[in-house]
Amino acid sequence: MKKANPIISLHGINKNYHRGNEIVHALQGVDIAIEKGDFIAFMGASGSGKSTLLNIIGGLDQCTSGSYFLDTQEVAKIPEKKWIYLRRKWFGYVFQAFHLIPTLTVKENIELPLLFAGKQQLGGRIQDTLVEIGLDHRVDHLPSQLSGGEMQRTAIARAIVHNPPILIADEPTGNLDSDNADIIFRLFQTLNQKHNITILCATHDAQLAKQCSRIVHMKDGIIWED
Amino acid sequence: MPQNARSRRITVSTPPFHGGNRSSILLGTAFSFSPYLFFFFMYTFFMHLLQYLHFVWKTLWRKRSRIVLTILSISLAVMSLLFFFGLRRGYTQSMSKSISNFGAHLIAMPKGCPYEASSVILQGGILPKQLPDETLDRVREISTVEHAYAMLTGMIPSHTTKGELDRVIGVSTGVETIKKNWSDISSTDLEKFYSSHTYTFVGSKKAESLNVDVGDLFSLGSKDQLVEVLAILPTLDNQDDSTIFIPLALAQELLQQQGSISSISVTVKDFSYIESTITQIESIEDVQVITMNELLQMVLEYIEMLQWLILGILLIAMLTSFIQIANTMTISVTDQMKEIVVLKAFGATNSQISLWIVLQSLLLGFMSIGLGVLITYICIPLYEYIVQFFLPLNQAGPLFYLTLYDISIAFVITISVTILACLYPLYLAMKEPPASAFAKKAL
Amino acid sequence: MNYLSLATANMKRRKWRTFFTIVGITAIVMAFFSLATFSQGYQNALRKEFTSLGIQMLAVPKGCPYEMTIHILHGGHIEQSLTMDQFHQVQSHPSVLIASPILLEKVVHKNTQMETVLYGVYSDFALLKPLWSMNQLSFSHEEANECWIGSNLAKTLSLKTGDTLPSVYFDQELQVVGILPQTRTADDQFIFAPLHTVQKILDHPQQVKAIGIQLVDGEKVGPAIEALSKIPDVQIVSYRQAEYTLNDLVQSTRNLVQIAIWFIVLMGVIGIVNTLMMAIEDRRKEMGMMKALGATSLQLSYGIGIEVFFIILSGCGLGMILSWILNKGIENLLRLLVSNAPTGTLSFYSFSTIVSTVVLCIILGLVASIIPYITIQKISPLEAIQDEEG
Repeated sequence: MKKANPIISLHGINKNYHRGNEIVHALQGVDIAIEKGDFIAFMGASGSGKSTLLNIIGGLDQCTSGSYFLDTQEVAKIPEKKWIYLRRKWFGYVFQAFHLIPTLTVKENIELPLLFAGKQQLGGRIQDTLVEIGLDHRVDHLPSQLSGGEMQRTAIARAIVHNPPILIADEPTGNLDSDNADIIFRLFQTLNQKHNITILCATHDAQLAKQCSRIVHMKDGIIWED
Repeated sequence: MPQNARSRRITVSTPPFHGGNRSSILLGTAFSFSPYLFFFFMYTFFMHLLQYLHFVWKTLWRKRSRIVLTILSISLAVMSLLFFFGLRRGYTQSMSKSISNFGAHLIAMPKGCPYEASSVILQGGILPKQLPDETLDRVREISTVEHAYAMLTGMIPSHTTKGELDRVIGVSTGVETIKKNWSDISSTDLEKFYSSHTYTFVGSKKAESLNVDVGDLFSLGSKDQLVEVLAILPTLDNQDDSTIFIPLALAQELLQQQGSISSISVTVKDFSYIESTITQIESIEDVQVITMNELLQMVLEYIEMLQWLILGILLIAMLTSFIQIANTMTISVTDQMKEIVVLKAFGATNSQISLWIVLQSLLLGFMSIGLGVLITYICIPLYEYIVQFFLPLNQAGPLFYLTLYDISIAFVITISVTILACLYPLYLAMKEPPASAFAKKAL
Repeated sequence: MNYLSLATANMKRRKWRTFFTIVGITAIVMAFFSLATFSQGYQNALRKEFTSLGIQMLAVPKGCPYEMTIHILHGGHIEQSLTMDQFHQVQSHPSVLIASPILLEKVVHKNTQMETVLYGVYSDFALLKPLWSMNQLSFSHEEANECWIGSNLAKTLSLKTGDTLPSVYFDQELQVVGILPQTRTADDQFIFAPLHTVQKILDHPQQVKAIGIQLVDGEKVGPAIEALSKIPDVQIVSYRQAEYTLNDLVQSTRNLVQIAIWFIVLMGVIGIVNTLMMAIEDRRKEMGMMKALGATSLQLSYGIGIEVFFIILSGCGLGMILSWILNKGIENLLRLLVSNAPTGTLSFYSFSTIVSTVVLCIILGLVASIIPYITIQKISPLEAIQDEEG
């Protein structure tokens, strides 16, 4: 099979934190290439560096050293102000704690990325996303009126409404029961297969990870199996 | 058994420390140790309190910017209160002192606004109208007048500091009988002063700024009149300290007001003669009289206005402080809610939780007051400089004067507001049940 | 959805905090706006009073001439008097066109304790009162027991022309020969009778309290004052002088009040900053999330900015409205602060005052937004999203 240029390419990524007088090496010399359309599960114990790696890939954090190519652009050291525009264009995020805005309805939460990108005119896109996620009957509900699974699906809808090529999900099923976790992962599969969205997912759940096309195991800040 | 045996037995078998003796000895022991016990309890209490305060402080300091802003806001309220308390007290004191140091019971002056004229006389300047100098003789002829002296006030260009003016007062004989700070001047010096055009008495601040001492010579006026310092007058904390006193005739020459005087200061033989003295003086053409009481009355009316102002500011400042503290404490309690309910789950009572919250609020209040008082004291010179442009009849000498009483009032008001403002946060903390410590948080 | 709906939703979250912050701003704006309207209103009221005098200057006896001017306008007790001889000296001076003597005293209704002022004047006094639109106060003769009364007093006592003013204010009945037109000045409350009649009633024979003067040449006020001042025991004060001095006297009060208000304004700014900082703290995670969703610091600041301006402008509007509603109460309070304040309303609501208040509020809002804006800039999506419990 002809290999396309990787959409994400990291070389020699190191990330160090200072904890008092101690230096914590969260990532040590990580190399990874991610193709478009990959559905990757990052697995490892707490503290293995999977969330740190995802944060660096998603531009929420900066590496201490190393190179990071997003498509063909070197983005390892670009300032936060420029990352905002990259996030708008390239990424969608889903988190364990959902992070929905409690005072906004489902529709309004989903609309946020379009508001910030100045694309409110894409109202039809919101309706389509709601239907796809299966929340069109909850449009005007507040997060406090939703179940855990519905909240996470709202978060997913918000993450994809602006058509990002890459979806980053950090423990998306951590706060959900197994049935809802299953629903979420099936949703991810649908998005990956139907829309060719590259999905990078950190998870503890081996059963769910098996549904991914690739599993990356991490330990002590390094990739020890891919 | 013989009748006495029991009593004898009782007598014999009675131990040396029976019930009555035991309690008194215990009491005696306790009493003798009581100072130590007292100090022990106080020490323990304060150590606990300090430990409590240490935790309270750490809790508050978690949100530095919020606390700093709240303290800043309340200390501004404290500062505004202290500003007006200090101004009211300082101005009253300064004016009362100034008026009483004037020495006279009445001032006779030319027709015109007597309050404006008094202001000029007290502060320095030139009156638009003058009196002929024979008015002094006519006033002295009044039988109820004890002493009277004339003065001519004016400003002349300074020789030492370019662009500035020197305050000059020409005085006639008799000033030493009225002005308090002249009473210690020897009669020889006085005679020299009155008989010649070459001597001067200088106020203490003026002597400093001219850098002159007794016996020194300096120039006065546009004609470079050379004068010798005969004495430096004791400090009175009023405009006299910044004045150059010269004989009346010399002043008339320098100010080109020959034959004129600005005013006549008068003391009466008996206060019961005040009204009749005023009537007799005012019967002289174009002369009117103001009493020191009337001047003081004007000051008191102004002070009364200040009181109302203080009340208005107090209300608004305390309302704003209340809102600030209530907001800050509500947020603080909300932030700490998880800790509070966990403490309740572990057995903390409502009063212990309340103490925790009230101490936070009080600490905010105390720090604000401390900062407010500190900044007020630092800013007093700045305040003095600013308000001199705003106050009528203002005087040299301190315009701000804060006493412990004023600070205590500000303290009590601020602490009361602080306690009232933490009632709602207290209610929030009280109503949360311990069981909620184990409930998962939705978001 | 837009930034406005985002801001509205956020404000609804902390309704009481928003409400109380608005209350604080309202109090501050009320104080500021009241001072501004009073400042202009006082000057206007004073000018109107002096204009109603219709004279260029007053001759008064010894004492504070400015106080006496106020007493003449409002009615009050003047201790000293001028003699008819002094009046004739003034009247006969070549620079004087009209010299009208005035004798006045405050009198109290024996039953209701209502106060009014009894003026003793010549008929030509009407020439000095442009608002009356009359050439003279007609009395049958100079010692007639007659009077003209102000329109409001006539209404209060239910009197009309031809009625008798009973001896409730003083021991003399007077026939009402006319009701003065309404002028909306203190004159509407007063009684005007022939000078000689009033001299008898008040037992001040051959005395007057002041002389109203109109000059032959209205431009030569200075020389006229100098010349007339030479008359022994007579002071001359021009109404411009009096207006200027009285404005000046109230200036010190105004300045002190301004100092107080600036303290309070500063507190208000800090209060707004604190409220905003608390709001940002509340929503730190959300803001971090929004940055992850592509929001710039400026976009996040729009939302906060809308809240700031909602709070500020609500407080501003409410403060101005409350100041207007509580106008009368505030005015009474101000009269306690400022003695001898002019009659009539002391507040003057002008477009420029309203605009300057609004502009000040906007500037305060902008200043208060600086620190919150800097704080928002520093929020990183990562630190805000990281959940301590996750």
